Amino acid sequence: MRNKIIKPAILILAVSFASGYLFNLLSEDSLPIIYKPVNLEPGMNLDGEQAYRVLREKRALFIDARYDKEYRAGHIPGAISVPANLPRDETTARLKPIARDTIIVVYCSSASCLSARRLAGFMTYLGFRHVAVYLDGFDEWQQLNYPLEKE
Amino acid sequence: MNTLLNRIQVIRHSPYLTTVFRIVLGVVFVYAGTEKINHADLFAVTIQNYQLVPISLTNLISIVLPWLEFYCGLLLLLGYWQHMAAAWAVLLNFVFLIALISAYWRGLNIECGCFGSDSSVNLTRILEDFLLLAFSLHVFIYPISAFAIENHWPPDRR
Repeated sequence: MRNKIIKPAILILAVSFASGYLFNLLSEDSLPIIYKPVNLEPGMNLDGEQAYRVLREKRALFIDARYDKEYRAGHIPGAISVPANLPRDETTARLKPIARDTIIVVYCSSASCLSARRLAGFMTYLGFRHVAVYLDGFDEWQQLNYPLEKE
Repeated sequence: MNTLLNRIQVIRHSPYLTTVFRIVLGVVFVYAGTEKINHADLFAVTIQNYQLVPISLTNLISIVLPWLEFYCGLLLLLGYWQHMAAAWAVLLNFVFLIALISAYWRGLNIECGCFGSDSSVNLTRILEDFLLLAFSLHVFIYPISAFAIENHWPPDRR
């Protein structure tokens, strides 16, 4: 039993590990073996380039704090909509299924809108540990010709 | 009655039944493995969404697990070291089942990550995995199968 199952089972695990390691090493966009989440301090601000990098790493959840209509017209791919004009209960309900250690990037139209910062503050209060704000927001995102999603 | 029971016994121990099960499992595992090998980054995010392992381990799992699936599937298809491959299949399917049920229980609306496609966690996925677990248990309990390489070339003959 021991020699017939456990030894080859460990061997195949080791081979899988080696294959995965090598394949990952040689692949174009290799991942770090141990993932270190980007340490986004509460209230940290990202510029457009940083926000785009975070998006490409596919780790962060983008939250669009603009009005529903603006969100429908176009938003950062994968972003969910939590408009600033929602009642608090509704906001809390929309944020409920999200794990508290998720990396969050909140944005609104530009640096002059307050809703992203306000939502980020509220989320920190709710216990989210990695909330950042993409300060220049969607206007800059469009100017930089980064990808969009519409619905 | 007695003959019916006998017949069931015969079918249950049949090496052909084991062959069918191990080939089904092998195809599923090889397919699921290759899909995930090519999209390790997406699979890492899927693992993260289950919220069952620390975030720092998600990459490691997404790099190693698909290869484990792939190799076990290959061994099952070839019929070499199939007892051990079936043991891994039992363990993996059991872990997947627990993860699926827990995600379903918590009402998480997330991708399954089962075959690298974008189907979400639902009852069908759970039943599928239950079936695969049953197949792998059968191969593990009755590891003698027809048309297996190890019938002609046993692995532990030195």
